[in-house]
Amino acid sequence: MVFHLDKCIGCHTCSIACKNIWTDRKGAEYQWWNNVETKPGTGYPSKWEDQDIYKGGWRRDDAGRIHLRGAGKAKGLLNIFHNPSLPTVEDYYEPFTYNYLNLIEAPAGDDQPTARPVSLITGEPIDVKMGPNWDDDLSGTPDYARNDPNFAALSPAEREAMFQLERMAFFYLPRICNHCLNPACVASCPSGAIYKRGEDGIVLINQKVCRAWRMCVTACPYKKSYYNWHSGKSEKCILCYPRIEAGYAPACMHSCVGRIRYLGVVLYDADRIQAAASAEPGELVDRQLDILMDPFDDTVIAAATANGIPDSTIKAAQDSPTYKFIKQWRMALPLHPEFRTLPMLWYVPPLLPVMASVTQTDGAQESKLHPVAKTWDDTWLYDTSTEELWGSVEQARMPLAYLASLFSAGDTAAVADRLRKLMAVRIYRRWKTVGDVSEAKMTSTLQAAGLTEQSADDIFYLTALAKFNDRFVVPPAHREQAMEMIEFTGDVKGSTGFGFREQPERGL
Amino acid sequence: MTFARPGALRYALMGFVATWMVAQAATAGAAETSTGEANFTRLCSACHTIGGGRRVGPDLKGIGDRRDREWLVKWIASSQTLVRSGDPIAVALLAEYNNMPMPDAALSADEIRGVLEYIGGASAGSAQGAPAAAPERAATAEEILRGEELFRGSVHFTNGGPACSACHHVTQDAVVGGGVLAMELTTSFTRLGGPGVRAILAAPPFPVMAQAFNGKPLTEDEMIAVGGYLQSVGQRPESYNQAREDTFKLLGGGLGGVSVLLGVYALVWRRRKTEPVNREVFARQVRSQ
Repeated sequence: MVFHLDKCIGCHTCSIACKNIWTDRKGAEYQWWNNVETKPGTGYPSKWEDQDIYKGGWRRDDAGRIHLRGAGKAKGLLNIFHNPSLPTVEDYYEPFTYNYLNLIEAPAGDDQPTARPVSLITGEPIDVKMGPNWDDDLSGTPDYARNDPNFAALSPAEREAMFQLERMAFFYLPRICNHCLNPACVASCPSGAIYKRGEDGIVLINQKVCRAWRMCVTACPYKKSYYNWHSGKSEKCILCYPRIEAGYAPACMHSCVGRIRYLGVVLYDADRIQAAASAEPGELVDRQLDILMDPFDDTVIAAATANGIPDSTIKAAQDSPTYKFIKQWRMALPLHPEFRTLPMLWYVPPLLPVMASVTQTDGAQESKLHPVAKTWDDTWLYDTSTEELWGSVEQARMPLAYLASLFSAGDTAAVADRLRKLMAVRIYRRWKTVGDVSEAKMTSTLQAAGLTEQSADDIFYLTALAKFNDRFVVPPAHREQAMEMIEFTGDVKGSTGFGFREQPERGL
Repeated sequence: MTFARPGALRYALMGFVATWMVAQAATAGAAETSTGEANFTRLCSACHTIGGGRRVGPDLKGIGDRRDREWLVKWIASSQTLVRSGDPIAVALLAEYNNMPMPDAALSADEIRGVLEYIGGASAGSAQGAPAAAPERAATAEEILRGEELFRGSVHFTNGGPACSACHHVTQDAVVGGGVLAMELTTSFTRLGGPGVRAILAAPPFPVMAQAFNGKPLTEDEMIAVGGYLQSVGQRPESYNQAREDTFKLLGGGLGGVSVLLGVYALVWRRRKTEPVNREVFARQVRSQ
């Protein structure tokens, strides 16, 4: 999966699509398997990135081995009846609706009737304390934006600079389950209820096996496993597997207005997962990229075939938009690779407007204005012009250190590399369509970013023009083969009609 | 014990002839030895002597001179019937001997007369103790301990008799949940005395007990051990045999234990997440009524 953050408009359509299909149930109201966060911000649940609070993900010890931070065998047993690092419902938010009926049924009175918020947990009227997209509603407030855990990577001066009004910038970060290669939730489950599907890598919780120990809630550093207080089971994003099996894109991706989401097959070498997850902090992204396999390589194809991967899946891997963004063009980065779960949702980082500056003017321009035009007494001017068309990557309003804290475990060079490519494609297209950029400038920018005109065209196509079938390359599910791995289909050979997945209690 | 009447002691030389044997045992015994002496030994001697002094029941020496013969036959056949009929002598006797009823003897009137004749004959002769009452010997501390084990059943009787606690209970901390089928034996030694206890152990007069130990008699050492144990149980200070008043000890121990546990918990889970991360923000938020 790839989310192109440069295109996200923060409309939350994905969240609503997901909510309407999957979590519009009792006990699941507070769950947002897909949520869109505003960065900088504390996110949902609040400060989920701060693992000193929530103890999620893996930790590498001095010997280079990785251990679950807040779960695992010994800690899991110790804490099995009292999981000490769980987010409470107040860390998510207390789900609520409004008493709309009061608007039309209120008796005549002196005041306008109001629709008071009502808790979806207790049914009582409540004061709304928080919502799942609170940062969106209150972006930049000291209580939320300034408590973003990623600011730990920034110096106090840099932090302060970000909140000057003229430098204020934000971007959206849509999040779903990363369907990691090294999922901490799977490793933490005492019941063995969570598994990563072999055929498509979707991480699922078996609702019949789940015993609600909630170790996965603690272990998932992205807090994408949720406890349903009504059913007494944990739930998480299922990547709309019923849709995927039918060849459709997941609902959040299908509905995406900005078309930021890409879904495709990426082949990987599972034998090297542990080594990649245990890599040095600075090498995490590169090691993860190393285990993603080139689907055009003959040896890879042969190995995949030998492992029973159908040709149709290999073909899908070759057409995969995600492979191109992640490995071929190296334009995407995983979210918080330092959690060491090897997330397989990669983000193309956002290329934000360059910094504007405030300069002093000499008043010369004002003489040219029409007499009715409003003028100011002071001589300050909000100046957005830069020497470069979009300025340089280093001048971006969102400090590189901040993006690096999010996407590359602090490696600013990796982020700058991705941003340079985004910039190069823009300059290339400006040269091609508008023509106010010199060819020499265009060529040097492409070269600096390691791109060719051909690859820049490809990136432009997949970014701006890609159709449905370009963005979502879902291979046939081959459910019959997957099923044969679990059940012997000869048992029902020759039997007729529709069967029962489970035996009926009586009858027949 | 006070006597209901001054003359009661005189009348009281009547026997608690212990037994109403189960029918088979009684008939089998009657068929083999119908002589008065055999019946006396088998049924009466556990509680009565002839010239040997009081035991559980009175000394029967010269009983024929003191009581009307027909009254005696009725009493031996069913003492409780006589008590219920309001017979003043019978009521007084029962009261004098700790309200301990004498079991009915499963003997015919002729057999009872045979027993009485034997008593009469023996009264003329020398004093006779309980036939099974061997020379008394105090139990050693070890034997008392062994007696306790025998009573509880953790050590088996040599001849395979059932453990006492199957049917009996004593109020002693070592014995938990003895049986309730038969008498509670805490004060048995005090009430019956050493010879009485020994006599009962040697030849159980009670039908169920007799059946239980039929052919599985206690050995001499075992009788001394169990007797010594019962004596020691009866001699223990009252407080030892009572449920201890441990309310405050338990309360204190419980509270102490809980605080120690809570302390351990607080230490092990001291870094647990105790509040929502935004509590401070929520605290500042304006609330409606």
